[in-house]
Amino acid sequence: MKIIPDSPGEDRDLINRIVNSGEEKAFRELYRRYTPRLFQSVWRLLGGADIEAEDVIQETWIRACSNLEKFRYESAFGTWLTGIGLNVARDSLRRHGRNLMVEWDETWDAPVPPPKLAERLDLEQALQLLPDGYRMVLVLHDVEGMKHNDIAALLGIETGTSKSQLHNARKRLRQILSTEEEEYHAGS
Amino acid sequence: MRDHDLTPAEREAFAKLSRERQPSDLLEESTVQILRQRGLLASRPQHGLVLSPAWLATAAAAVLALVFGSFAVGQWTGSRQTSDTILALHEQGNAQAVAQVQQASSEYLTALTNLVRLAATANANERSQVRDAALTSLYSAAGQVVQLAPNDPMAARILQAFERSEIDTTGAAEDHHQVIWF
Repeated sequence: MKIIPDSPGEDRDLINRIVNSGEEKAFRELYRRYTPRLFQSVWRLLGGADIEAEDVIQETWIRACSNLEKFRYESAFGTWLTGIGLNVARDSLRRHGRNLMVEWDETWDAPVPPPKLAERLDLEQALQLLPDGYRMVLVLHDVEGMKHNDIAALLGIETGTSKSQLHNARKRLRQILSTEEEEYHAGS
Repeated sequence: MRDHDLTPAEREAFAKLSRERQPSDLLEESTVQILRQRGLLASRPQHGLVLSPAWLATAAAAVLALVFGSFAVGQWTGSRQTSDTILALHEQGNAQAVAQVQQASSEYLTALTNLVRLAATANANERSQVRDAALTSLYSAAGQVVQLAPNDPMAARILQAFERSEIDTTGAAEDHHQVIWF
Protein backbone atom coordinates (compact mmCIF):
# COMPACT_ATOMS: atom_id res chain seq x y z
CA MET A 1 0.00 0.00 0.00
CA LYS A 2 1.54 3.31 -1.03
CA ILE A 3 1.45 5.61 1.96
CA ILE A 4 2.96 9.04 2.29
CA PRO A 5 6.00 8.97 4.58
CA ASP A 6 5.02 9.13 8.22
CA SER A 7 6.69 11.20 10.84
CA PRO A 8 6.53 8.42 13.41
CA GLY A 9 7.93 10.46 16.27
CA GLU A 10 5.44 13.23 15.69
CA ASP A 11 2.59 10.77 15.17
CA ARG A 12 3.40 9.06 18.45
CA ASP A 13 3.36 12.39 20.28
CA LEU A 14 0.01 13.35 18.77
CA ILE A 15 -1.48 9.95 19.51
CA ASN A 16 -0.30 10.07 23.11
CA ARG A 17 -1.86 13.51 23.59
CA ILE A 18 -5.16 12.26 22.17
CA VAL A 19 -5.17 9.09 24.26
CA ASN A 20 -4.03 10.71 27.49
CA SER A 21 -6.04 13.91 27.46
CA GLY A 22 -8.38 13.83 24.47
CA GLU A 23 -6.60 16.86 23.10
CA GLU A 24 -8.58 18.26 20.20
CA LYS A 25 -5.64 20.18 18.76
CA ALA A 26 -3.59 16.99 18.50
CA PHE A 27 -6.48 15.19 16.82
CA ARG A 28 -6.97 17.96 14.27
CA GLU A 29 -3.29 17.82 13.38
CA LEU A 30 -3.42 14.07 12.92
CA TYR A 31 -6.66 14.38 10.97
CA ARG A 32 -5.22 16.99 8.59
CA ARG A 33 -2.08 14.98 8.12
CA TYR A 34 -3.79 11.78 6.98
CA THR A 35 -7.28 12.63 5.76
CA PRO A 36 -6.43 14.00 2.28
CA ARG A 37 -4.61 10.82 1.33
CA LEU A 38 -7.24 8.59 2.89
CA PHE A 39 -10.12 10.53 1.36
CA GLN A 40 -8.62 10.26 -2.13
CA SER A 41 -8.31 6.49 -1.83
CA VAL A 42 -11.79 6.01 -0.43
CA TRP A 43 -13.37 8.47 -2.87
CA ARG A 44 -11.83 6.63 -5.78
CA LEU A 45 -12.87 3.22 -4.47
CA LEU A 46 -16.45 4.42 -4.10
CA GLY A 47 -16.57 5.74 -7.65
CA GLY A 48 -16.44 9.42 -6.81
CA ALA A 49 -19.34 9.44 -4.36
CA ASP A 50 -18.51 12.50 -2.24
CA ILE A 51 -21.07 12.10 0.52
CA GLU A 52 -20.55 8.38 0.92
CA ALA A 53 -16.79 8.89 0.98
CA GLU A 54 -17.09 11.54 3.70
CA ASP A 55 -19.26 9.20 5.75
CA VAL A 56 -16.59 6.53 5.42
CA ILE A 57 -13.85 8.93 6.50
CA GLN A 58 -15.81 10.00 9.54
CA GLU A 59 -16.52 6.43 10.56
CA THR A 60 -12.87 5.57 9.99
CA TRP A 61 -11.71 8.25 12.42
CA ILE A 62 -14.31 7.24 14.97
CA ARG A 63 -13.12 3.64 14.87
CA ALA A 64 -9.48 4.72 14.91
CA CYS A 65 -9.93 6.99 17.92
CA SER A 66 -11.96 4.33 19.71
CA ASN A 67 -9.03 1.94 19.37
CA LEU A 68 -6.16 4.39 19.54
CA GLU A 69 -4.94 3.24 22.92
CA LYS A 70 -4.58 -0.28 21.50
CA PHE A 71 -2.39 0.86 18.60
CA ARG A 72 1.01 -0.69 19.15
CA TYR A 73 3.05 0.92 16.35
CA GLU A 74 3.61 -2.47 14.73
CA SER A 75 2.89 -0.68 11.46
CA ALA A 76 2.94 2.95 10.48
CA PHE A 77 -0.08 4.85 11.71
CA GLY A 78 -1.08 5.74 8.16
CA THR A 79 -1.04 2.09 7.17
CA TRP A 80 -3.19 1.17 10.16
CA LEU A 81 -5.61 3.98 9.48
CA THR A 82 -5.90 3.10 5.80
CA GLY A 83 -6.65 -0.50 6.71
CA ILE A 84 -9.58 0.70 8.80
CA GLY A 85 -10.71 2.98 5.98
CA LEU A 86 -10.69 0.19 3.41
CA ASN A 87 -12.77 -2.03 5.66
CA VAL A 88 -15.28 0.75 6.24
CA ALA A 89 -15.41 1.47 2.49
CA ARG A 90 -15.99 -2.19 1.70
CA ASP A 91 -18.75 -2.35 4.30
CA SER A 92 -20.30 0.79 2.87
CA LEU A 93 -20.46 -0.72 -0.59
CA ARG A 94 -22.06 -3.87 0.77
CA ARG A 95 -24.51 -1.89 2.88
CA HIS A 96 -25.62 0.01 -0.21
CA GLY A 97 -26.18 -3.28 -2.00
CA ARG A 98 -23.33 -2.87 -4.43
CA ASN A 99 -21.90 -6.01 -5.89
CA LEU A 100 -18.25 -6.59 -5.18
CA MET A 101 -18.06 -9.70 -7.33
CA VAL A 102 -18.69 -9.03 -10.99
CA GLU A 103 -19.27 -11.69 -13.62
CA TRP A 104 -17.74 -10.99 -17.00
CA ASP A 105 -20.52 -10.07 -19.43
CA GLU A 106 -19.70 -10.06 -23.13
CA THR A 107 -22.89 -8.15 -23.91
CA TRP A 108 -21.98 -5.28 -21.57
CA ASP A 109 -21.84 -1.97 -23.36
CA ALA A 110 -19.29 0.58 -22.28
CA PRO A 111 -21.23 3.52 -20.87
CA VAL A 112 -21.05 6.56 -23.06
CA PRO A 113 -19.85 9.42 -20.92
CA PRO A 114 -21.81 12.68 -21.16
CA PRO A 115 -20.39 14.88 -23.90
CA LYS A 116 -18.21 17.68 -22.67
CA LEU A 117 -17.10 20.43 -24.98
CA ALA A 118 -13.43 19.99 -25.90
CA GLU A 119 -12.94 17.57 -23.00
CA ARG A 120 -11.86 13.98 -23.16
CA LEU A 121 -12.59 11.28 -20.67
CA ASP A 122 -9.68 10.96 -18.33
CA LEU A 123 -8.57 7.92 -16.41
CA GLU A 124 -10.20 9.11 -13.18
CA GLN A 125 -13.57 9.45 -14.88
CA ALA A 126 -13.15 6.09 -16.59
CA LEU A 127 -12.52 4.43 -13.22
CA GLN A 128 -15.82 5.80 -11.98
CA LEU A 129 -17.61 4.12 -14.86
CA LEU A 130 -16.36 0.66 -13.90
CA PRO A 131 -18.64 -1.75 -12.05
CA ASP A 132 -17.97 -1.52 -8.31
CA GLY A 133 -16.26 -4.88 -7.96
CA TYR A 134 -13.90 -4.30 -10.86
CA ARG A 135 -13.07 -0.82 -9.71
CA MET A 136 -12.33 -1.97 -6.17
CA VAL A 137 -9.79 -4.60 -7.23
CA LEU A 138 -8.20 -2.46 -9.93
CA VAL A 139 -7.79 0.58 -7.67
CA LEU A 140 -6.42 -1.48 -4.80
CA HIS A 141 -3.91 -3.26 -7.06
CA ASP A 142 -2.93 -0.83 -9.80
CA VAL A 143 -3.33 2.46 -7.95
CA GLU A 144 -2.72 1.60 -4.31
CA GLY A 145 -0.17 -1.16 -4.97
CA MET A 146 -1.75 -3.83 -2.81
CA LYS A 147 -0.90 -7.49 -3.35
CA HIS A 148 -3.55 -9.99 -4.37
CA ASN A 149 -3.42 -11.90 -1.10
CA ASP A 150 -4.12 -8.68 0.84
CA ILE A 151 -6.91 -7.71 -1.56
CA ALA A 152 -8.42 -11.18 -1.23
CA ALA A 153 -8.31 -10.99 2.55
CA LEU A 154 -9.96 -7.57 2.52
CA LEU A 155 -12.76 -8.61 0.16
CA GLY A 156 -13.21 -12.10 1.54
CA ILE A 157 -12.37 -13.82 -1.73
CA GLU A 158 -9.73 -16.22 -3.02
CA THR A 159 -6.44 -14.88 -4.34
CA GLY A 160 -7.16 -16.43 -7.72
CA THR A 161 -10.49 -14.62 -7.82
CA SER A 162 -8.73 -11.33 -7.14
CA LYS A 163 -6.43 -11.97 -10.09
CA SER A 164 -9.25 -12.82 -12.47
CA GLN A 165 -11.26 -9.79 -11.31
CA LEU A 166 -8.23 -7.60 -12.00
CA HIS A 167 -7.81 -9.10 -15.46
CA ASN A 168 -11.45 -8.39 -16.29
CA ALA A 169 -11.29 -4.95 -14.71
CA ARG A 170 -8.38 -3.90 -16.91
CA LYS A 171 -10.16 -5.29 -19.96
CA ARG A 172 -13.28 -3.33 -19.07
CA LEU A 173 -11.34 -0.13 -18.43
CA ARG A 174 -9.71 -0.41 -21.82
CA GLN A 175 -13.12 -0.87 -23.43
CA ILE A 176 -14.37 2.31 -21.75
CA LEU A 177 -11.35 4.32 -22.83
CA SER A 178 -11.39 2.97 -26.40
CA THR A 179 -15.12 3.68 -26.71
CA GLU A 180 -14.49 7.21 -25.57
CA GLU A 181 -11.64 7.48 -28.07
CA GLU A 182 -13.95 6.40 -30.90
CA GLU A 183 -16.71 8.80 -29.81
CA TYR A 184 -14.21 11.63 -29.53
CA HIS A 185 -12.84 11.11 -33.00
CA ALA A 186 -16.30 10.56 -34.48
CA GLY A 187 -17.37 13.93 -33.14
CA SER A 188 -14.30 15.84 -34.21
CA MET B 1 3.91 -9.17 -22.59
CA ARG B 2 0.62 -10.73 -21.64
CA ASP B 3 -2.33 -8.70 -22.84
CA HIS B 4 -3.71 -8.31 -19.34
CA ASP B 5 -0.53 -6.69 -18.03
CA LEU B 6 -0.46 -2.94 -17.84
CA THR B 7 1.35 -1.22 -20.68
CA PRO B 8 4.04 1.32 -19.83
CA ALA B 9 1.66 4.11 -20.83
CA GLU B 10 -1.02 2.69 -18.54
CA ARG B 11 1.41 2.42 -15.65
CA GLU B 12 2.42 6.00 -16.20
CA ALA B 13 -1.23 7.10 -16.30
CA PHE B 14 -1.95 5.35 -13.00
CA ALA B 15 1.18 6.83 -11.44
CA LYS B 16 -0.01 10.32 -12.40
CA LEU B 17 -3.35 9.97 -10.64
CA SER B 18 -3.66 12.36 -7.73
CA ARG B 19 -2.85 10.96 -4.32
CA GLU B 20 -4.69 13.52 -2.21
CA ARG B 21 -8.15 15.04 -2.21
CA GLN B 22 -9.64 17.49 0.28
CA PRO B 23 -13.04 16.71 1.72
CA SER B 24 -15.37 19.50 2.81
CA ASP B 25 -14.35 21.63 5.81
CA LEU B 26 -17.55 20.53 7.51
CA LEU B 27 -16.27 16.98 7.71
CA GLU B 28 -13.52 17.92 10.15
CA GLU B 29 -15.89 19.88 12.36
CA SER B 30 -18.57 17.19 12.38
CA THR B 31 -15.98 14.52 13.12
CA VAL B 32 -14.58 16.52 16.04
CA GLN B 33 -18.10 17.07 17.31
CA ILE B 34 -18.94 13.38 17.21
CA LEU B 35 -15.69 12.45 18.93
CA ARG B 36 -16.47 14.96 21.68
CA GLN B 37 -19.94 13.53 22.10
CA ARG B 38 -18.48 10.06 22.46
CA GLY B 39 -15.97 11.23 25.02
CA LEU B 40 -13.02 10.48 22.76
CA LEU B 41 -12.01 14.12 22.72
CA ALA B 42 -12.21 16.54 25.61
CA SER B 43 -14.96 19.10 25.38
CA ARG B 44 -12.73 21.97 26.45
CA PRO B 45 -11.67 23.96 23.37
CA GLN B 46 -8.21 25.38 23.08
CA HIS B 47 -9.10 28.90 24.22
CA GLY B 48 -10.29 27.59 27.58
CA LEU B 49 -14.01 28.22 27.19
CA VAL B 50 -15.86 25.24 28.64
CA LEU B 51 -18.46 24.25 26.10
CA SER B 52 -20.18 21.67 28.25
CA PRO B 53 -23.77 20.80 27.32
CA ALA B 54 -24.98 22.61 30.44
CA TRP B 55 -23.09 25.76 29.56
CA LEU B 56 -24.32 25.80 25.99
CA ALA B 57 -27.89 25.16 27.04
CA THR B 58 -27.71 27.86 29.68
CA ALA B 59 -26.22 30.34 27.24
CA ALA B 60 -28.82 29.50 24.64
CA ALA B 61 -31.62 29.84 27.16
CA ALA B 62 -30.29 33.21 28.31
CA VAL B 63 -30.12 34.46 24.76
CA LEU B 64 -33.66 33.26 24.06
CA ALA B 65 -34.82 35.02 27.19
CA LEU B 66 -32.96 38.06 25.96
CA VAL B 67 -34.72 37.96 22.62
CA PHE B 68 -38.14 37.62 24.20
CA GLY B 69 -37.27 40.25 26.75
CA SER B 70 -36.25 42.62 24.02
CA PHE B 71 -39.53 41.93 22.29
CA ALA B 72 -41.42 42.54 25.53
CA VAL B 73 -39.80 45.92 25.97
CA GLY B 74 -40.56 46.83 22.41
CA GLN B 75 -37.12 46.26 20.98
CA TRP B 76 -37.48 43.22 18.82
CA THR B 77 -34.09 42.61 17.38
CA GLY B 78 -34.68 39.20 15.96
CA SER B 79 -32.29 36.47 15.06
CA ARG B 80 -29.33 38.67 14.17
CA GLN B 81 -28.80 39.85 17.73
CA THR B 82 -29.26 36.32 18.97
CA SER B 83 -26.59 34.98 16.67
CA ASP B 84 -24.33 37.97 17.33
CA THR B 85 -24.66 37.42 21.05
CA ILE B 86 -23.84 33.76 20.80
CA LEU B 87 -20.89 34.56 18.58
CA ALA B 88 -19.71 37.14 21.08
CA LEU B 89 -19.94 34.71 23.94
CA HIS B 90 -17.95 32.15 22.12
CA GLU B 91 -15.33 34.16 20.36
CA GLN B 92 -15.25 37.85 21.09
CA GLY B 93 -14.71 38.14 24.83
CA ASN B 94 -16.49 39.76 27.70
CA ALA B 95 -16.54 43.38 26.60
CA GLN B 96 -18.03 42.56 23.23
CA ALA B 97 -20.66 40.30 24.76
CA VAL B 98 -21.76 43.02 27.16
CA ALA B 99 -21.86 45.54 24.35
CA GLN B 100 -24.12 43.23 22.36
CA VAL B 101 -26.77 43.12 25.07
CA GLN B 102 -26.82 46.76 26.20
CA GLN B 103 -30.31 47.32 24.85
CA ALA B 104 -31.77 44.61 27.06
CA SER B 105 -33.20 45.06 30.50
CA SER B 106 -30.95 44.73 33.53
CA GLU B 107 -31.99 41.19 34.41
CA TYR B 108 -30.89 39.86 31.04
CA LEU B 109 -27.70 41.88 31.15
CA THR B 110 -26.92 40.42 34.55
CA ALA B 111 -27.57 36.86 33.36
CA LEU B 112 -25.42 37.27 30.30
CA THR B 113 -22.60 38.97 32.14
CA ASN B 114 -22.53 36.20 34.70
CA LEU B 115 -22.42 33.58 31.98
CA VAL B 116 -19.45 35.24 30.34
CA ARG B 117 -17.73 35.53 33.74
CA LEU B 118 -18.46 31.85 34.24
CA ALA B 119 -16.68 31.00 31.03
CA ALA B 120 -13.57 32.88 32.07
CA THR B 121 -13.47 31.64 35.63
CA ALA B 122 -11.07 28.87 36.35
CA ASN B 123 -11.77 28.51 40.06
CA ALA B 124 -14.29 25.73 40.66
CA ASN B 125 -15.92 27.37 43.69
CA GLU B 126 -16.27 30.69 41.97
CA ARG B 127 -17.65 29.00 38.87
CA SER B 128 -20.29 27.36 40.98
CA GLN B 129 -21.30 30.68 42.53
CA VAL B 130 -21.26 32.56 39.23
CA ARG B 131 -23.23 29.80 37.54
CA ASP B 132 -25.89 29.91 40.22
CA ALA B 133 -26.05 33.69 40.01
CA ALA B 134 -26.49 33.45 36.25
CA LEU B 135 -29.22 30.87 36.61
CA THR B 136 -30.99 32.96 39.22
CA SER B 137 -30.94 35.91 36.83
CA LEU B 138 -32.20 33.71 34.05
CA TYR B 139 -35.05 32.42 36.20
CA SER B 140 -35.99 35.98 37.08
CA ALA B 141 -35.80 37.06 33.45
CA ALA B 142 -38.00 34.18 32.32
CA GLY B 143 -40.44 35.10 35.06
CA GLN B 144 -40.62 38.67 33.78
CA VAL B 145 -41.37 37.46 30.26
CA VAL B 146 -44.15 35.21 31.54
CA GLN B 147 -45.71 38.16 33.37
CA LEU B 148 -45.66 40.19 30.19
CA ALA B 149 -46.69 37.31 27.93
CA PRO B 150 -48.26 34.48 29.97
CA ASN B 151 -48.65 32.19 26.99
CA ASP B 152 -45.09 32.52 25.81
CA PRO B 153 -44.00 28.89 25.26
CA MET B 154 -40.25 29.37 25.53
CA ALA B 155 -40.34 31.24 28.82
CA ALA B 156 -42.81 28.68 30.17
CA ARG B 157 -40.49 25.83 29.28
CA ILE B 158 -37.58 27.58 30.97
CA LEU B 159 -39.61 27.93 34.15
CA GLN B 160 -40.80 24.32 33.95
CA ALA B 161 -37.21 23.17 33.74
CA PHE B 162 -36.41 25.10 36.89
CA GLU B 163 -39.49 23.76 38.64
CA ARG B 164 -38.58 20.21 37.70
CA SER B 165 -35.56 20.81 39.95
CA GLU B 166 -33.20 20.26 37.03
CA ILE B 167 -31.67 23.58 37.93
CA ASP B 168 -31.13 24.74 41.51
CA THR B 169 -31.67 28.50 41.81
CA THR B 170 -31.10 28.66 45.55
CA GLY B 171 -27.37 28.90 45.20
CA ALA B 172 -26.67 25.48 46.70
CA ALA B 173 -26.02 23.65 43.44
CA GLU B 174 -23.06 21.38 43.13
CA ASP B 175 -20.50 22.21 40.51
CA HIS B 176 -21.35 19.43 38.10
CA HIS B 177 -22.60 19.49 34.57
CA GLN B 178 -26.31 19.22 33.99
CA VAL B 179 -28.13 18.93 30.73
CA ILE B 180 -30.93 21.44 30.63
CA TRP B 181 -33.67 20.72 28.11
CA PHE B 182 -36.29 23.25 27.21
